Amino acid sequence: MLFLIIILPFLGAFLMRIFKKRFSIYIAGLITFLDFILIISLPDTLKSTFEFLEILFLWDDISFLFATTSTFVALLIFIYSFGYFKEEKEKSFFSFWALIFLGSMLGVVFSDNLISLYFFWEIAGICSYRLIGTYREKEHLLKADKAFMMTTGGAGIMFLSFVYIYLLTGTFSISKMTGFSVPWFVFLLFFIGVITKSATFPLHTWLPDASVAPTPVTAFLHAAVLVKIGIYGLLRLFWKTLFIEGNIIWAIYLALFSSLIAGFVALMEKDFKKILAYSTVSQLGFLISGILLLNERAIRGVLVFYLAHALGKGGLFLTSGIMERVFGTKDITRMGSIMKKMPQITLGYFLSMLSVIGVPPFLGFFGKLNVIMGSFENKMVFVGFLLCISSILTLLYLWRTFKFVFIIENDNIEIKSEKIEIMNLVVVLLGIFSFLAGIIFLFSEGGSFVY
Amino acid sequence: MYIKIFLPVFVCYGFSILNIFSFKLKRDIRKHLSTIGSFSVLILSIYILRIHLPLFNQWEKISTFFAILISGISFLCIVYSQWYNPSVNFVYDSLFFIFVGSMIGVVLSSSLIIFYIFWEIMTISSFFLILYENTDEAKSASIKYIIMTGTGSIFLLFGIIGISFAEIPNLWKHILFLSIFIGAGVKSGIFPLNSWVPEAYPTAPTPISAIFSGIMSKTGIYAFIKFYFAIFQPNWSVIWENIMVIIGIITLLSGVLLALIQHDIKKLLAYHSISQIGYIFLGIATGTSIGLLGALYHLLNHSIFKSLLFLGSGVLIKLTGSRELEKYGGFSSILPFTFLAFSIASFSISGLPPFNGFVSKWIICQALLEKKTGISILAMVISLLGSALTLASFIKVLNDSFLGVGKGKIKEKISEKTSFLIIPLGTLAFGCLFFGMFPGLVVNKIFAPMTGNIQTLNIKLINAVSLWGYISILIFFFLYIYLSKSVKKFKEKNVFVGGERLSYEITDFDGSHFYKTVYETNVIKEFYEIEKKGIFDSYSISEKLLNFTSKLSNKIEVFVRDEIYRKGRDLIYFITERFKSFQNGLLPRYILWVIAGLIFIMEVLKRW
Repeated sequence: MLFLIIILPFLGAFLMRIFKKRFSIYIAGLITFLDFILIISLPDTLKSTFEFLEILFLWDDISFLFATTSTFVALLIFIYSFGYFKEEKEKSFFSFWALIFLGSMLGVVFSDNLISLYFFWEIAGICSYRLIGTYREKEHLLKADKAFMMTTGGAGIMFLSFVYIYLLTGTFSISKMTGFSVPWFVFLLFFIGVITKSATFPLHTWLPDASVAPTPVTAFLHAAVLVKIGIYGLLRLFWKTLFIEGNIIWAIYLALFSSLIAGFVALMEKDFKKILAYSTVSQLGFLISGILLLNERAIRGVLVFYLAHALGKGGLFLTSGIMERVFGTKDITRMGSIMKKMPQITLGYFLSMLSVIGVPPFLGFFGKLNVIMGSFENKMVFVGFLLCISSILTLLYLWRTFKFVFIIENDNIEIKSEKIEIMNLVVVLLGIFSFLAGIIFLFSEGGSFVY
Repeated sequence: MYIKIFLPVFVCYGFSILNIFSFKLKRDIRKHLSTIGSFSVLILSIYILRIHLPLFNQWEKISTFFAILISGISFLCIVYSQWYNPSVNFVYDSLFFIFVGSMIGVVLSSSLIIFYIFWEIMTISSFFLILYENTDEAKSASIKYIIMTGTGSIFLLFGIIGISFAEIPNLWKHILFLSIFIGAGVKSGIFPLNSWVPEAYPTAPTPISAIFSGIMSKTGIYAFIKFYFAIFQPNWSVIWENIMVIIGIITLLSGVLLALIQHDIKKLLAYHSISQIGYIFLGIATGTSIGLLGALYHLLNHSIFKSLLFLGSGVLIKLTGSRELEKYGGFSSILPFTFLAFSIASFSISGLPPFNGFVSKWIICQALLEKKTGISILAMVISLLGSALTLASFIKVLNDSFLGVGKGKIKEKISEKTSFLIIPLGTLAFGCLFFGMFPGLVVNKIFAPMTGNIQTLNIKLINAVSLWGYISILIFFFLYIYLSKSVKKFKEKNVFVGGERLSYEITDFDGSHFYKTVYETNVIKEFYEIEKKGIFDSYSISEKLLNFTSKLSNKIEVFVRDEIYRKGRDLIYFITERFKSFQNGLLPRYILWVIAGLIFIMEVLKRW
């Protein structure tokens, strides 16, 4: 069954070519929905591993979380793109590459082998290259080139670390290499791969540039698939699997520095999508430093915040797409008074925003709380302090955006009336999911916080 | 047992949801719904005091005291807002109940994380309440509010997480204390963190300003009391004690000085609110139980008279449609009941005996004296000065609004004779008198279980001083009767200057103009000038700081984006250019490469 889950998006992407172009996006949505249903509803007996050319695919809790989140958010993005894309050509193009993108994410998540992990990792890179260059203008292609070169270069460097790990342990299988320890420079090589994919300073610059792509694509990159691959790889390899000889505190500080600097840049930026892109860089720095704390509580927090960020950032990006439609610009200073005119979307954006900031009782709060507590458990109080500063920056730039887009009334703007019901619905759904997930989390696990 | 404590909170949230679902109800029915809901919350708050009494320790008693205070004041405010703002829709009521419920949750929760969750819900709901009227002023005020308090909350979160881990180096303990100080201080409006207060209090709807000043700022004080007394223990650091006293002094003095020159009645009350928070803070800063007693007593009194003042000012605003003091005047004949209540509150806030402000200020001053450090004696002297200035400021308000010749323009005729107005104002005014007249009863019954018995506190002395207050009131009363009997009619004469008949506007000299002389006093003038430059405004200072940092980061970002990436790309191009010449399209060259490659691989395999 696991085989089916991974292969389904690929099959679907090629099958779609048989049908007419205007059905393609519905087929993509349907296939993602099927995949989602398969992942969440499989009984334990069918959750077997499978081997393909001596490459093992495995199912565990972390991969389950990542797979569920990606397919769920991808499903919502597909529904959103029913309303977003107008031309059939764009629709079929997007649904083809996005499905392959999703499939490669699932491949990364379920593979227990460094070779297959690398393989799917690179497929994701190619897909992102094509998707960023959806509109084939020169500027877009340059940015797509940049994204491709940086992530692929990083992945190449990462592959060196795989080779070294193979020489050290004699296997490519991740589950068999548990307990080995690797020197710090192997970690560095792997970390370069991670920070190119997960956009951390100083190799993050392709991500803000990629915001030229159409909104469903950027939402795919930021919320559902691409940048989370790096997080997943780091988690898979260095949490309870390989041990690192030597101190990796520099990596934590690098991630934190990235988080802070991206937060500060987002405070100045005027382009709605770029603000959100820098926000993603900031949150990824938060997540990576949380993982590198390497303790139980921080990892727990990272997993929760990963889910919160996928839902919340999805909602924010999709809102930015709607705003781009409504105002015909990405400049937030030329927007305004949405709160009065579109209350539903304000609700959706607001809930997503609070979740990303980390306001209780939303899901993001429990993630951030656990990560900060994890830093205290490691006796790294300063790290905890910087994590708090990063949260404050998140608060500042997101409220600033909220102020400009939703609250302030601007007389010089014209609002184009468009049919955006389905896009609205998706945003509101994402916001409500963030809220509900937080409430559920509070009542199911809130007891563990009573001290 | 544990969940039962949160009963009032759940009822509040229940009524909030009920209001959302019944959005089609007419105002007349919703009026009763909200009143009944708020009243039931009050009953429940008293009920939890009854059921848990034997089990409670000192801190939980403080919690229930706060819960009853919050539910009581909010009940009066919701009753008042039915009269004040009859056109509000379901959003207002629903937000109101969320707000009140979260405040009760904040004070009742014993787990710090639950405390923080309620704290944030309170922040978010109060943001929308400030924004409710949706004017430009409200927009900027609410954004300022949410940014400042949101930042403060994250600092508070840092402190909360930090203190739950025991092994913290001493330096970090100071930083944790500072974080909690910022978090709680922003909410209550301590000196450098109060730049949202004079903007947010005036722009919110009046009943909401009453709640903001009356109880929401007290949740910050509550948090601070709990952290300082229960977790950090008083006297843990002498430096902090002195810093706190100094901050208390500055808060007190700057608040009252700025209040003196205001023309906007609600802004004036907001500055007075800051100043009174300074008193409460001085009481806490002593760290003794008498100081805590004084702080709690003053906190109770401040909730009562400050909400009464705000509600009273609401009557004036509704009457004239303006917040400017210049547009009022001579309303005592139209609004006799409001005048009475407002003047009782004014005397209370100025600390005149026998009103309640006098008793609590006395206790705070005694606590400061007993501390016997130089700085606390100074604080005591300044707090007396602050009282005098408060009185001066409120004489101005009373003179401008209620007394004087009638020159205020009436926009909307209102009747005082409605129970939605009489109940809140009357209850609060009665509270002012009650807590001032029977300090012994109040201290022994309400506060002694929280702070312990205090030997040095001499209630009889307070009562004896209050006696002079009674006597003077009696004297004034008889004087009034005598005067009103003997002087039946005022003589009104036209003013002539050089044979010219001057218009009424020029000859009239109202109170706020008189206070221009205050502005022009030497030392104080410099203070105002400095204040105008925004040196005390932590918001604009941090805005500048953030701007600077983000410009710096932007430069780094641009450098990384343009330089490093471009250099790397050029390097790769440079290398690939070199390889280009290997592939010149000639077959023999390729065959050569193939053979060379094969030999290389074979060599490698041979030696493996």
